[in-house]
Amino acid sequence: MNRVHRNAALALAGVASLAAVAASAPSAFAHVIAGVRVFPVTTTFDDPGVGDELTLPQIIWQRGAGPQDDTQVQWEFDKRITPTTALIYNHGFDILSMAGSKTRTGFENVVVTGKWQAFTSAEHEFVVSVGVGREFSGGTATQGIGGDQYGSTSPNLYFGKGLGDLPIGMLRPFAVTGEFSYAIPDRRLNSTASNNGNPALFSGSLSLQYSLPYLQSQVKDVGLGNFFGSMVPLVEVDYTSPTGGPAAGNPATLLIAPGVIYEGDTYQVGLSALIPGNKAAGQNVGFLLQVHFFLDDILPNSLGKPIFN
Amino acid sequence: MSARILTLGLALLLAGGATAEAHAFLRTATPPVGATVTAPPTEVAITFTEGVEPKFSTIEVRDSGGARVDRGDPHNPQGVQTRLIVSLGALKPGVYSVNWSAISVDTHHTEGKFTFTVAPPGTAP
Repeated sequence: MNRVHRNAALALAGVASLAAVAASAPSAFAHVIAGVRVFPVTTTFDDPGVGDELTLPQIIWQRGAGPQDDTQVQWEFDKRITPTTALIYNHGFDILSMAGSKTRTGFENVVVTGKWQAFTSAEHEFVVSVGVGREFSGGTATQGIGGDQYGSTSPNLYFGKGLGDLPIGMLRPFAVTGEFSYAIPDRRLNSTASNNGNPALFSGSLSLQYSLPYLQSQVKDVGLGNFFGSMVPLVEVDYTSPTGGPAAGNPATLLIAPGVIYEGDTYQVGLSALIPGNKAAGQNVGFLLQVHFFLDDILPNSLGKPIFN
Repeated sequence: MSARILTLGLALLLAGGATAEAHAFLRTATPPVGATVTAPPTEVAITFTEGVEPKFSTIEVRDSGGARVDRGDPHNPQGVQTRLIVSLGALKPGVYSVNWSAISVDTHHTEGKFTFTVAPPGTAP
């Protein structure tokens, strides 16, 4: 799954320079499994592995500074090429509404990411993946609303570590995941911020998860039942910062997203609050809803299996 | 455009014509995961979220010394595909570890492990 986490924070900022924000990437992930650990799809950034999955839709809503409301409807499709590599397609549609003004809408830039799940340790519940994301400028994006005139290329690093090897039983359901990326813009913002370019951007995201399914099935059946026993409460933190050179209108942002994921058999649903961690990330709490499908379970003989096995 | 994309997404979901199956995860177990029981169990039973293939699935039960104490006979009870049972020998008081490996009916592999404890005789339930 590919997630350009910076976009949620920038949408929350409600800044007019949404046009300068690269297309955000929704969440998505099939079953990334390392031993007895199942890493769910996180809501604001990508999970640590590859899979055959579909996010349809992810909806981000944020009441911006002043009267402007920002709504993003996003979708993502992940397709494994081999068992450990995948291509990920992200797109979205933004709706900007403001009292007294006409609602403006437009498409985000398309982002395609190639991802390789390079290392998996079942014993240590550990996964590492690397990828390269390409944000395409041009015809599919609507400038000034959700799209950028110029694209970017981002090397990405993903990891996931389950804490099942801890000696304290009730701590073993914890897991940590993360994604780090560096966006290299096609056109770097000039010193007068007049060329519609973008700064190079570092993004880092972390999640701390407590898996109730893991607790129930690996540690102790505490009688939660099927519904609550399928939930994963978590907190995600997303940080973005321009690196080197002019960064007018692109301040560092910090976003905190507490939420919960419900893991169904063939799907999952995620719900998060989006809390600005600094002024640049916005002034109001937003919300994110994600509906995600595991194609390896729904369509195991077609879209749910690697193209080359 | 959004409606067309949604339609395409639904079409993708329906394509292939395969019945939706899923990974087989542990739903419940007997003895329960992490439980302390007063009477030694004669079997370990795991109920999964999906049907599993007993010929390709295993449940291994070992004592605290690592010795295997199950009879190596995983089977579905009375054709119930979502349930896998393995018989046990006589168990003494102590901590036992269960390691299971399941192949679901749609060939997805999952695994897990948990422990249970057999309390000494006379222990209050």
